[in-house]
Amino acid sequence: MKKDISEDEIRVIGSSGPADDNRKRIWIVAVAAVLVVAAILVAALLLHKQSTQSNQPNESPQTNQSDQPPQPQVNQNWLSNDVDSLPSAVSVIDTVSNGIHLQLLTPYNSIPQLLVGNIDTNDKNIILATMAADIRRDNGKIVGAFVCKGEPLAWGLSKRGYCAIIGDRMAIGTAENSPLFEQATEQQGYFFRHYSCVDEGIAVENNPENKAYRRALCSIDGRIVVIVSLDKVLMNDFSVALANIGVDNAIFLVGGYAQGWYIDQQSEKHSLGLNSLGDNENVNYLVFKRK
Amino acid sequence: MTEYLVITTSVDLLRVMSDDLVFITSDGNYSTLNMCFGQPRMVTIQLGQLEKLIYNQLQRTGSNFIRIGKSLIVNREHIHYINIPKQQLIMKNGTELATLTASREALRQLKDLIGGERK
Repeated sequence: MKKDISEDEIRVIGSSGPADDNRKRIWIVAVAAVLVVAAILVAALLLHKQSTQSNQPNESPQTNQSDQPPQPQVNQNWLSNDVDSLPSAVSVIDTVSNGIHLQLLTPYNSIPQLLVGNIDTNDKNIILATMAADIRRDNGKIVGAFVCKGEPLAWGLSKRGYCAIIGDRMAIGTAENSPLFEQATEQQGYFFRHYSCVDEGIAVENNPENKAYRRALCSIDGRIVVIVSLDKVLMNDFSVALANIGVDNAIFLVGGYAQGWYIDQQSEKHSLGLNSLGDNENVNYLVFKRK
Repeated sequence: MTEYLVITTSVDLLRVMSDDLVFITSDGNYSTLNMCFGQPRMVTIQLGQLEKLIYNQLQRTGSNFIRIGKSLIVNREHIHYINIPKQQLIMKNGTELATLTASREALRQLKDLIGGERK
């Protein structure tokens, strides 16, 4: 089956004939052979590495400074939405950037946290909730490094964007290694990873995907803002739109119709999506709770 | 004999009669299956993966399904109406009608395909 399809094409599924079947068999054998060779090489490399390196979690910084690669430029600007004159609620601003309708949700006077498992949608202390890290399709585990209240639940560098919550402060950035993962485990904090969207004001290019409703966790001038697209857009178009409205740093959140809501300054509850992805025990949410 | 599309993840299993599956839309990493009966169901599988599942599992009824562009798969048995200038594709969804959007060129090809089968 041909892989790519453009928006102007249609394809009857299951329309291939015997010739296509033969070509498919040859491809499968060739790919299997390449995978076997690659697996042997990787195993040999790992065995060699194990004999020379200690075993550490991916995110923890190395201890021998003289052998270390240069420390990554990590954004350590802590964000806060504390404003005495405002209630503990979400302010909403609608705008358009590059033709894309965006909704900017700023949760004021609240404490950010990560929650794992099914969420209580009637919890009146939550003024904003949205799904955070992706779940792996094959094993149902959380994608990328994840810390919840100091407990590491997942490790991995599959996505370069990160969010760390220590106390009631948040940091958002892009880095392959971040000491904030270890800091979150030491200080009862939170940490998760997702695709980077904007890095120091520059839109980050990701692999092209289909159009979908997008969400991102952003920092703008020291404030935390959750931005959702009201149109279905490509990831890269969304990133450019955010950079154009002055977002400093942003990472994607689970988008589409993923479950989420917010409470506005008139105490009205608004839904961002209703799909809770079933009973997966690793489904996780970024929530902002009233102070 | 009735054919079923079976979608399994690490935590659950969804089994759908192929005749009951009306259309599938894509939302990034997720897809939503719309059946004749019941609520739409979202699965954590990309549309391309679902296309492969249909291809591999449905021997007899797989060719009832048509991929339209990057975001849509429809069951031709439930196509009710195509309007190219308005970019409308209306599917019969049980007792209701569901209106979908696709590019004019794709709808032209679909109309030629469906119309050509009646000749």
